[in-house]
Amino acid sequence: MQPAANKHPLLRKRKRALEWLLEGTVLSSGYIVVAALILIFVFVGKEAVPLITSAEVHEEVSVGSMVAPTTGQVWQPVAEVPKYALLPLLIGTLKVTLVALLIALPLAVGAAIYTSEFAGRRTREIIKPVVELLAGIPSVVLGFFALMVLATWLQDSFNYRFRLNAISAGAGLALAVIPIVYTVAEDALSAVPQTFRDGALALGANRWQTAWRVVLPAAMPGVFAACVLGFGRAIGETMIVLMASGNAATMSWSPTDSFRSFSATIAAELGEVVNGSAHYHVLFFLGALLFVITFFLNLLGLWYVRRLRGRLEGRARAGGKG
Amino acid sequence: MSALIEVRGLSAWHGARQVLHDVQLAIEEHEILGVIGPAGAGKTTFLRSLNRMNDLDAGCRTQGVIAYQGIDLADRAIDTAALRRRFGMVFAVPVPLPGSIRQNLALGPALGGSKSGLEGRIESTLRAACLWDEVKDRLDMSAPSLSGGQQQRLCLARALMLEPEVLLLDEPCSGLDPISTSRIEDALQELKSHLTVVLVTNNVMQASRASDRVAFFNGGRLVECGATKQIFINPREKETHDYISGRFG
Amino acid sequence: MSSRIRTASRMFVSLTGLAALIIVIMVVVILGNIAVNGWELLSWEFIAGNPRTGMTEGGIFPAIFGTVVLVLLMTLAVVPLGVAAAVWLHEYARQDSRFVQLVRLALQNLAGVPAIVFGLFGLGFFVQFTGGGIDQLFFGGTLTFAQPCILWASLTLAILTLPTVVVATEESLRAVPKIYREAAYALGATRWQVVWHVVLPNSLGGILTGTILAISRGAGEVAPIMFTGAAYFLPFLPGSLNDQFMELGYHIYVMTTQSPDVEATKPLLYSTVLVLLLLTFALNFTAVLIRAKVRRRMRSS
Repeated sequence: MQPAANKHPLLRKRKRALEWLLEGTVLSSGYIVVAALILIFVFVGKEAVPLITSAEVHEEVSVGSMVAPTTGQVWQPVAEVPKYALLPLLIGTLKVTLVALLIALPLAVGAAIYTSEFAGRRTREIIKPVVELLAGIPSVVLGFFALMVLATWLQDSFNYRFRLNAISAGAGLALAVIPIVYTVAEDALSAVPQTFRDGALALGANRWQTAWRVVLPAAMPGVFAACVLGFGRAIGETMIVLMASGNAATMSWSPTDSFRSFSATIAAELGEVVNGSAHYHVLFFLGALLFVITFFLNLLGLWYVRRLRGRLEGRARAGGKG
Repeated sequence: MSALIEVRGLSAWHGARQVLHDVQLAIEEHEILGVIGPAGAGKTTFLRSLNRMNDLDAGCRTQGVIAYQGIDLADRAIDTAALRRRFGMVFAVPVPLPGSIRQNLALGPALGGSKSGLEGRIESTLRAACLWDEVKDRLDMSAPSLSGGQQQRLCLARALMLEPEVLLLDEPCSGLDPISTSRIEDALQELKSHLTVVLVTNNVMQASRASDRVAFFNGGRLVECGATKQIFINPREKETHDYISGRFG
Repeated sequence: MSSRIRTASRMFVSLTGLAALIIVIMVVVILGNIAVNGWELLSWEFIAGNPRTGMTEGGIFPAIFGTVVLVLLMTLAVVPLGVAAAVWLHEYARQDSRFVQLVRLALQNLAGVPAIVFGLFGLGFFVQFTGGGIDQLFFGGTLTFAQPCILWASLTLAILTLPTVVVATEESLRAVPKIYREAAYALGATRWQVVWHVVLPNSLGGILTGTILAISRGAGEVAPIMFTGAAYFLPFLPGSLNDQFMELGYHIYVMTTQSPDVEATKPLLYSTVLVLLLLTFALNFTAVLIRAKVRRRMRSS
């Protein structure tokens, strides 16, 4: 072994302390990102677990009693005998999500098709920033608008009994969903190679037929992804639903009745709950449920995006050979 | 006198494709070694293996020994950053970094942690690169706004700021006008007195003008290496003769 | 071409155009409604004044102050981490490695986690676990950090906005030409020096864009801070990291849903909403301008 002092200078690596520290931060950042996601799951899940394991909590509520309650399908956590039926919340969540998607998907996908296929450059340069603007509006502002303005307009137009219901909240929620659906769908449509369009047009198809028969089918996985990601956004959105839903946990499927969603329930009740009580664990359980649902919707959406990419690249390559 | 660098059995691969085959070559101190050959002959890969720039390319793998002062430069234990400070490099395209002329020149010393005597060194290297007279009044001007020829001489000066022992030039004049080219060639003749130059060029005339010895590469092999006169007047190999007389490449 | 096809074609194009038009109109209506109704009360006293008479009169200064401090703390946390993660992803990691794919997947999923779940996480992880730990270790169990406060709220937001910063930063790292890195390496730079002296200075625009987008997102989120530090009303401004704070978005929520007389506070509320919107839009607009500049430079080089 040579002593270090005799070593050729090119064989001696030096590193300064600050450099080492900063580089260490960079090298560990990947782990921190992954850890953040895992920690979210662990720390939300941890507080949800007693609902399944704790005998003390079971005296008041269990997963079984939430799904199949013996005291009726009622959500009434603050009562002599607390009632935690899941079904009214599930119905409320699905109801508002459905209304939101019914409004948002046609508008967003339609606008995406128009922007990528028919609109001139000028029009495109208006629509895209406007959607970005919409995406930049905080959801509490959308909730405020849905509550103060939309709800009244809608009630005046359709003349129903409860001012705050799945229509008012769904319409507000649609505003939050439109940007994400539009952006992902528009990306997918624009990613379809121009050669596809040229080919169809050369065969005598008009622009509508090209869009409908060629571009849309090619971009379909991306459009699916847009819808799935929009669904995920809708199901987890809190402030809009909290402000414009009326917050009554009813069992009604009617869009003109007030309702309550998972997310809004957590937001409305967690502030007043006793730490570690059965109610507290139930709310974390709802959160964990939301996390898991949106997680899988995200994965599904990303999977579709991937499939779109694979498909377009595959076709472009095959087209290049042929 | 023994050679400054002795390359023994150097092979290199880009992915599965072998681009250098068992190269044996000695580089003498204070010479200008011209490296010529057709495109894809392995000249650049050879050059970049000397200062380990090939390491940056994840798909590139090398094998062999590059003996220098009793150590092997191809060794994993080599401090590549320190190696590249000793073996300065200029690329085929001028790469002025965003920022002023001064900032470009100061970067090398700053990376090495030396800041003393910067102003004096800036002047002397700019003089050595034949650029001083053109930029002496505007050292704080943005480097990318210089002309192509000036940019390339700035890159030469930037490499000289490192006070290198060896200068590796990868087709440094490929995009330049004849005047800029001759300025750079003049600069090299001056520099030869205190450093060693490896000049990769696809311009045979430049090699004949500027170099003391010439190495001819073809198809990843070193075909022959010898004094410039000998290579151009009396090459041993027919391949060399065909190349320099313009039959291919 | 038959006239039926032509009619169908025209209808299809008009329908999609109509969808686009409806979206544009909706945005105009929302912004117009808020601008018109919020404009009246917008004044210096409103912005710089304190709320009076049970928040039905006066200004919103504490909420603005709280929001600014909140996003500042958030920025301090999210920018170094986000930039580090982007640098690691783009400059250090092998692109084909499984771990890189895992990190990208985690980031994409992080971006899709509902805001309210971040609120639960902030409460469980920061307030109770971390805060509780700090109190046990340094304060002998006295309640100091194991309570909702501005520090925990800002860190919760930092995790929520992390993907925004990483995505914007990575885009700008990609815009730095590869040859710049080579030039720096050839000057004897270590990998870190290449990043520090060449890559980061040339991607400041993208980092700034990411920061601003994160701030604008963070300034508007309410669900994550409801249980981690925001308060209805406080007679004092937050003075230390473990104080609670008022925040614009939360203030809007509270005033809209819990106020005894919404009609009376409506003008005030509209002005508050307008302030929040102006704040987020100004930030977004700046980000868009910087991004456009960065993209232009990327195309020209």
